[in-house]
Amino acid sequence: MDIELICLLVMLAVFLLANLLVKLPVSFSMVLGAIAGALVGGQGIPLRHLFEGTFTYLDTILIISAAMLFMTVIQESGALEALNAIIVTRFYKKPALMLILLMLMIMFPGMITGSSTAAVLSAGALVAPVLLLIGIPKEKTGAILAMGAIMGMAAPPINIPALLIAGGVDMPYIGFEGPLFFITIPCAIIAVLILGLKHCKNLDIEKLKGELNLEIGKKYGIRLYLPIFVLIVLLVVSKLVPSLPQLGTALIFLISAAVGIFTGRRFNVWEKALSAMETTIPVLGKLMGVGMFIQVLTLVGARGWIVVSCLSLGTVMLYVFACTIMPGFGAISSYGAASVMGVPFLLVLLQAGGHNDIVLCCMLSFLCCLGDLMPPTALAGNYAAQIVGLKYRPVLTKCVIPFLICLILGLLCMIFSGSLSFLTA
Amino acid sequence: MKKIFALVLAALMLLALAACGRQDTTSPTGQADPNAATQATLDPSGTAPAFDMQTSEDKRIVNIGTVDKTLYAAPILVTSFGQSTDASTIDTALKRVGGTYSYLPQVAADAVGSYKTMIICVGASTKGLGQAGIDEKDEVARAEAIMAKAKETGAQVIFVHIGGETRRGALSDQLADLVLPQCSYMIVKEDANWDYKFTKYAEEHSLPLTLIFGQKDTVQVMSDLFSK
Amino acid sequence: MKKFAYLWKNALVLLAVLVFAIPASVDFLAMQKREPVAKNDYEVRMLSEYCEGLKDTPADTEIYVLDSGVPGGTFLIFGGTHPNETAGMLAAVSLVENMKPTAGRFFIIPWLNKSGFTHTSPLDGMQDFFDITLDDGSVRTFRVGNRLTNPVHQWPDRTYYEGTSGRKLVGTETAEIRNVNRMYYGDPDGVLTEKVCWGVYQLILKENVNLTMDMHEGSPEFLYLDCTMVNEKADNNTAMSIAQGMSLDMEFDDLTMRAEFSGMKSYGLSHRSLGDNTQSMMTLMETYNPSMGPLHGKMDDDLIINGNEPNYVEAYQRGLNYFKIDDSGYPLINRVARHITCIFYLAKNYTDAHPDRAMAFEGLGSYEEMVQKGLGGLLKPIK
Repeated sequence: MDIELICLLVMLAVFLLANLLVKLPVSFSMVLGAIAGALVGGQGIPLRHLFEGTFTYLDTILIISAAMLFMTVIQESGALEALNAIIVTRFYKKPALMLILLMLMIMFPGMITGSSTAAVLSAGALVAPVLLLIGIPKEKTGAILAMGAIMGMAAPPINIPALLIAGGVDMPYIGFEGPLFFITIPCAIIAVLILGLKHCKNLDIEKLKGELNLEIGKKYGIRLYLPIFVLIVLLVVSKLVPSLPQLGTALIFLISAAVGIFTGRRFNVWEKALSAMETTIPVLGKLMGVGMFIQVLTLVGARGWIVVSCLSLGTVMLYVFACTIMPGFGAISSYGAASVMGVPFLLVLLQAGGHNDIVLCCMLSFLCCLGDLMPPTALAGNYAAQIVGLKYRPVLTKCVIPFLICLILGLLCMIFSGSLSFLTA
Repeated sequence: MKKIFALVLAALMLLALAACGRQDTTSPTGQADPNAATQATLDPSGTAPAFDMQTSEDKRIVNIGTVDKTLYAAPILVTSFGQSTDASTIDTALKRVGGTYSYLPQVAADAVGSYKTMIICVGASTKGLGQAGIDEKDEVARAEAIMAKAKETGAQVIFVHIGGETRRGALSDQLADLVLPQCSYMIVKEDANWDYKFTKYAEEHSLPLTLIFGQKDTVQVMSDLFSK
Repeated sequence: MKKFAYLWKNALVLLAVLVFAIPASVDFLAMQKREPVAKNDYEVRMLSEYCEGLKDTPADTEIYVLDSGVPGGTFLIFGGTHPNETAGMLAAVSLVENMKPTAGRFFIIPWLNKSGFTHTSPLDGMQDFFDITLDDGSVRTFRVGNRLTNPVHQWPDRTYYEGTSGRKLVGTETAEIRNVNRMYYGDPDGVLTEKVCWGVYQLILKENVNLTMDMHEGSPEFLYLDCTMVNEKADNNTAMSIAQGMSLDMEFDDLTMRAEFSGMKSYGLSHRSLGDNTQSMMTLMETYNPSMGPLHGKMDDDLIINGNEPNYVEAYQRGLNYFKIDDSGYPLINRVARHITCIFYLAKNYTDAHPDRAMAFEGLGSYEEMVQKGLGGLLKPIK
């Protein structure tokens, strides 16, 4: 057995043992896995590498932190409650349309932060009561949140696995919007309708109205939505007119959050900000742990080994593996899946010919994103279950059918990426 | 239950990883798999299959037929069709043999009337065309005009293709096909001959052909051709 | 009191972090120190003499000037544009320590992006140092850095930046604002990296440099390996003939070194931007460095010095690389010797074309001799 494979197995084993048996947090388990790998790989305890790895996702960490503050603000100020009330009162007659709109709301923070966790913890937390209210059972509500968060994470403009894969092959992150919308929007719609539609055929609007906060929207009027408006304008302007002085995504979130403090219900900013950061820190720790884990994988040569091993697969096996290993690697980290497995899969599939590189990259990143449902980390599933007050197993069970549908659609898009190249224009 | 489920999934993943172990790409004799080797060229102009070469490291120059050196009188022009670096290689080689010639890679058709011999280096390079600020259509038009002029003045044409396999794209081949019908001598770096295009052409038209192994052999060939 | 209990907990956590962070920071800080250079007949200048703004910054770097005393041309040679491209830096150091100029002047900068030598890039698992044992048994240690300026010295990367070349850095290219070879011809009032570029630009103008070589290496996926980029423009578009002369000379020594036209859209790269804006003939060469590719195996001194990466042999056999890679590897000494040989023949062919600007040197021997000697013989002991 190659030494690289032994390193990989040791790292995974230590990680899983620490996480599942000793019940350490995922981030600490990753640190232990990384240290074990370095020791087996003959690198001692490479402090420098361990530290350096944690800085890999510094930008992402800043963005997620700022986005969480923003979501806390619009949650506390009442903007999201008001939005929910509008959606339910306007669309209760067309439950399918309503569910789709709610799904898009769950997706939104994921779309702009590229993080499923941000989506579940922010918009998900707000939409969950509405879904429960209209009669969707807890486990299915959790499943909708988890699926929505994952679709949001994969949807443009920010899809971090796609960025990682594209970066790995020197492909500019341009033209990804089309294919990513093409796969995520239908999958999101299918998922939410499968899970929710039969429960909200006949809605009693009067009963619903009693549970909704109809007042807050009237009390503050249009200014309640100002932070969301500021956020969208700043994000769009910075995309459209890049030559303007740039604020950066993290600062844009902070500015919008600052605006939100004054546009709605008053709340204790310090306390809410602290508690928002407290829920986020495990996620940030996970990102740091992943960076460390992959840095050590690279250092001991296991990353190169995985890549080269994948090169020897035939085309059919390659598709099979793309559908199993890419999401499967999400058990450790979907970002890790993209940066370790995404690049070689892309290169080898492209070599088979007839493919469009951008569509292929998008679909591979989509498969990586699905990994956020994979236990034991199951980022999206974990937090969704937490919100509806369940363990994550019943929630994940409900996710199985939509998950498989997504997987099949993603695979089909991969196989026929050549004929989808019009999407990248 | 949760624990078992997770462990089984993780184990499946590991098995999958372990299963994709390395396949040996070398044959029992230790030779690289020829199929793997032919896939190896990611050249935009397509891949060339392995073929039997007449030149080699030890036998770098192969002459087929006899060249009538007296045909190639001064003044001599060296120009490029396709603006790859190959013409400047001939320029450098001629400089080393001490030849007297004009090196004008982008010469226009109306300036070639006085030359009795034209050494035309064929090979298209997007970088070279970009550097010269010429688009593909204009380059083909210039090539056509020069060949028409050569027909008119009766200038002798030497066809030079020393860029090898990478200069066998569509544009390079189009330019080559313009020059071949009017040339009286061909000089070809042999790896470009993978489909036997040049050897076949020389045979069918009874043209003298010199195959070379590497670009440095142009120095010897130019010396043989022009030394007194 | 209870309200502040969390402060104690947090302080303890921070303390625990420090216990690990301090020894790690010693590792990182060790990279701030430049390697010593052995004695030779040279004069040391600083790049800040050509760009005021570099003075007392971590990016100011040494220029070694070797003058033959025989009037002729001026050749500027630099390595370390990208610090992870080790052979360029070592070739420059070898030239500084061994060169005996016989005509013209040579300006040599071994660590052009000096800030980049002070850090490595996350996730790539790069070495920070590697050791070379000399023939006399002493050991010399060199740094492998990152291809970009250290963010500690220049941060944050702007989400949009237009350099003096007109290159627009947006989207995935924003980090390139810390890449010396994207920011030419630089700006004396710009970001730190641009000041380095401006220093090189001013040096070329003020010292009337005739020929410049920017030494690089590429990962095996790269198309232009064992290749020299040439900006055709110098001396009325005659630069390519000089480069082709070098290419033929190398071929006569059984070494491949293609000469290629500099890309017209390579905005901000040395060969394009400085070639278009100065009198100097601009060249940039690349050799293959297996430790730079994403497929590399275990990272250690062996990979850096012996350059044998089975993963890339396999990738080549599977048609994923354009550049031919076999079991024999591509040791660092062969890459260093190839850089030096290329420089030698460029000087020779330049002198043939412009005898009034002659530039020549001896003291390093042929490619074969350098490879025979190995790095241990080529580099001089530090006394």
